[in-house]
Order: sequence, then structure tokens, then C-alpha cells
Amino acid sequence: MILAQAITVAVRGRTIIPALDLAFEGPGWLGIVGANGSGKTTLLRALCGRLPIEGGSLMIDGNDLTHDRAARARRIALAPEGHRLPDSITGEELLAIAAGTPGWRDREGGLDPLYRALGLEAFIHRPIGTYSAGMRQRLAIFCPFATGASTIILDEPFNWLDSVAAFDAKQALRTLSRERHTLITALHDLPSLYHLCDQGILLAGGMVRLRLAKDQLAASGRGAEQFEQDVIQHLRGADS
Amino acid sequence: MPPATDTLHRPVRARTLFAYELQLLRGALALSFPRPTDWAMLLIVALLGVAFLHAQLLALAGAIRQWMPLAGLGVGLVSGIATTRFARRRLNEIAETGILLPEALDPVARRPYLGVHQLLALAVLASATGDVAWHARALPDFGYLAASLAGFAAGSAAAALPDTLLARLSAPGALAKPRAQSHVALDYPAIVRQLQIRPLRPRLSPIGVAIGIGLITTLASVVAASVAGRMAGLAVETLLLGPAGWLLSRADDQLLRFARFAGVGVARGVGSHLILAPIACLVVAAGAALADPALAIAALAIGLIIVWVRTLMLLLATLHSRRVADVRVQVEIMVAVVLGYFLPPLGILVAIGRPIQFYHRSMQRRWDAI
Repeated sequence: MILAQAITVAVRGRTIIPALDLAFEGPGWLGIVGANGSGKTTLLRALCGRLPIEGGSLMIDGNDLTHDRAARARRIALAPEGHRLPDSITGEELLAIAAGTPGWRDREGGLDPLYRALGLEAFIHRPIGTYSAGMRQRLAIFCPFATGASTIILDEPFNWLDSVAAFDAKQALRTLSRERHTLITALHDLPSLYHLCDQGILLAGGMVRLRLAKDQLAASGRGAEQFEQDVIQHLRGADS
Repeated sequence: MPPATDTLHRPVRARTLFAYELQLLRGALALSFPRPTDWAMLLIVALLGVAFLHAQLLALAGAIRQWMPLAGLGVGLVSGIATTRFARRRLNEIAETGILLPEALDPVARRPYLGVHQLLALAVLASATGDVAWHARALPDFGYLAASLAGFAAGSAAAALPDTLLARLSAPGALAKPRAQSHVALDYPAIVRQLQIRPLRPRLSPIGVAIGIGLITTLASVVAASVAGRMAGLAVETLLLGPAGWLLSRADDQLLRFARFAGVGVARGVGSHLILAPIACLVVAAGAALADPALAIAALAIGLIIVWVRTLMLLLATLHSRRVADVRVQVEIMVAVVLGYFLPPLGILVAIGRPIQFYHRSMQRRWDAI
């Protein structure tokens, strides 16, 4: 259970998130949408400990981890940015480091569908420096799962993926989020939000402007066009 | 299906950081030197380099015998600062990459990581100072060693001080905020705006700073030379101008890498990064020439060395990842120094030729290499 109450996050002295409330109980998939610069990435980085939280409180599974970045990082695994993956080692070596053992596949048998959906076997034995942007992104998506953590943060995970890879990855992630993982993702496409997520929030100016429960998201899927118009209207309203 | 856990499967410990670093180093070496002949050449150059440095110690030891405790203190101080800052900066980079974020943040892993870096640096420092002392017939007087160790400890503490202060200023229990330096994720839209509106031109104030540093160095070195002789003047000039020139030429190699692929020419990018250090050196050369031409020549030499090393660093950054580029720069410097010592004409040829070669290679890179 992740419970954030009035958390404040600043980057280089500038407050990006002034006071944000959030509650989500896994397993499941929490989707975060918002315009560029709305604070999605800052929120995700603060949740996993990469950024400090300046104010408010953040409880994870009943523990107050507001000021303990290391503890947050141990509980919530963040997918690295594809372009920052180290060039000089293979994908296989990177996953072994993330998992803490070269034999992680035997232990993490439940990840095979995701591994196959991302098509990692085709290139995982090559140095990362030889990967295309899409291959990097696929490896980056898988990395946090290899750590064994149950709560995973993915920041716009379907960027750079081709249509087939994106479709397969979405299905595999959906299955994992139904069975045992808590996924928190920033998304740009609304269909992913209402088809995949169990809860959605719409961010603008570092504030939650709209919360969408599972039944609302399901209803949105049936009236997709109207839902898109509503969300855009909210975003425009927040900007003005 | 095994259950996912509330925390990571792997234990959070420094060993994971070291394993990661070793993997990266091994990979970078394999990419930098893919053929057996590369390794043979590297081995020969390394052996020659060690022999060269060892040979220099005789002359150095004789020159500084009386100053050994002071020299030990200075070298220890600089080593302590450099090692600690390097290790802390590296931890920040690892945290930003995200793969080993828990280890990079957790004091349980951070402390041994920093400690091992300091121990390694201390071992190199102790062996080097011991070697100098042996040649200077200063053994068994261990004053120099104590001074080196004290300097190293002071340097390490000084390097850790800014982060410690930041940590105290931030919320209780929180670690220091990551520095807003070149190693944070790049703000590409801001960079593009910068490139469009004010394309990598230095502002007036840094030029003023460079001129000011040049004037202060000139004054200090000329006064030192007139009071304590030419060697003292050269020492003061080197100690002031070397670090200052290095700081003035600090460059964001990743920005240059991005700028290169955003259409900014390599020469323009490198030139705009390197304008300040030569200005400071030229000011010193012009001022000191009136008092002692040797001081002017030394200032020009310092400027040349800084520009050469920085040019290598920037050009290689447009060709390789940061880790591979770092390794390549050190090897290029070592090759040029060793060749320059044993075969001076070839050393000069290599020193001039390699940046030109890298420049042409950089020009041929396509945007998708970013």
C-alpha cells in the first residue's frame, strides 16, 4: 500500500510537486497521465527514492519512508532510462547485476512471459552499445522485474517500441499486475490508461486534477472518444 | 510462480557496486582494445610508462628533498580531495542511472565503496612517496609519510564537507541532494534553446575571471621568482595556473555530445568550451615575459597541455560512452608521454595527429549514434 499525503518535491530548488495526495493498493496498475512538465517523472522519482521528499508524508506498507530514500529504493524498483544503460556490458550481464545472480531466470520463472514478450533473447547476449533505442527500452522495462521487487515504476515504458512489441509488452505487464506486481507508470496514450490500468490519476502543475477508479476507467473504455475529450478538457482547464 | 517480494532479492551491499564497476571496466577495456595486438601495445606502453616515472623520481627526489614533508602534504591533500570527489560523483551517477539505486543511496553500501576507493588511492600514494623518499635517502625519516597521510585525510574530509553540510541542511535522515552538475539527466529542450539563442558563447564575466586569474598568477609567480628564485616562481605558477586552467576549461562532455548530434560543429563546440583557459595562460605568458621568459614559456606549456587533454576528452566523448572515453583518454595521454620521452619526434606527431584523427571520426558519426 502506497499512501502519500501532501508530499512536496523540489528539483534544484524549484518546487515541482507542491502538495500531492495519492493512495494505491497493489497488486494492480496505477497509470499517471499529464502534459509534459506536469510532474509525472518527478513524482515517480520521488516515490522510488531517486529524489528527496521535502514535505508531507509517504507511507509504504505502513512504514513512514518520507525521509528514507534508501528504504524507498529497496522497496520500489525503478526502470532505468534506456539511453543511460551502460554501453560496455551485455544485457544479460546487466540483468544478472540487477538480480544479484546470473541464475535469476531459474528463480524468476514467472517472468518468462514478459521476457518472451519483450523479445530479449534475440539480443540479450550482445553489448548494450550495439542496441537500437527500442532494444534498450525493452531491456530497461525488464530490469526492475529482475530485481524481484513487487512494486515497479516505469516512466513512459512504451516509447520507442514498435506496435507489435508494445502490444505484447502491455499484455504481459497486465498479467503481472493482476497476479503479483504493483505497477506505477507514466503514460501518454489514453487507451493504455483505460484498457490496462486499475486506477488513474491526471496530473497538472504537480497536482492531481482528476482521479479515476477502476469502474470509471472501464466505462471510459466504452466511450473512448468522450473520455479523451473529457481528459483534454481537464488538461486545458488546468493550464489556464 | 514464486511470489514477488516487498524488497529486492539481492542483498544491498557494496559488493554489488564493485561487481558492477568491474563489469563496466572489463567491458570498456574489451571495447577499447578489441584485438590482441592492442593489448600487447598497451602492455608495452604501461611498462615503459612505469619505467619512465620511476626514472623521473631520482631527479624529483633530489630537487625536493628539503621540501618533502610539504610536498607530501600537498600531494596527499590533492589526492584525498580528488579520490573522495570521484567516488561520490560516481555514486551519484550510479544513482541517476537507476539500476543500483538502493546501493548508491544506502550508507551500508556507500561507506565501503568510498573506503575502498580511498584505500586504493592511499596505497598508490604511499608507494609513490615511499619510492621518492627512498631515492632522496630520506628513510627512515617518516615525516613525509605522516604528512602525506595527514594531507590525504584532510583532503578526504574537505571533499566530503559540502555534501555533509547539504545533508544537515535538508530534512532529517535525508541524504544530500544530487548536485545540479553535468552528471544529472540533461534537460534537452533547455539545451536546444541555449543552442538556438546563445550558441555556446562564453559570457563576458568568465573571461574577466580568466584574465583576473592570469593577473594574480603573474603577480604571485614574479614575486616568488624575485624573492626565492626561478624554481619557486615556476612552482607557484604551476600550482596556481594548472588547477585554475583545468577548472576554467571544465566542460560538459555530454552537452557537447548532444550538441554534436544536434548539428553544432565539433570544432565550434570544442572551441567554445576551451576559450577561457588559454586566455588565462596567455595573460600570464604576456605578463611574466617581462620579468622572466622561462615563466612565460611555462605558462604557454601549461595552456597547451590543458587544451590538448581537454580536446582529447571532448572529442572522445562524441565517439564513445563516458566510461570508454575516460579509459581512452588516459591511454592516449600515457602513450603520448611515453613516446615523447623515448622518441620525442614521434611523441609530438602522435600528440598532434590523434586529436585530428578523432576530429575526423567525430565528423563522420551519424545522429543515431547518440
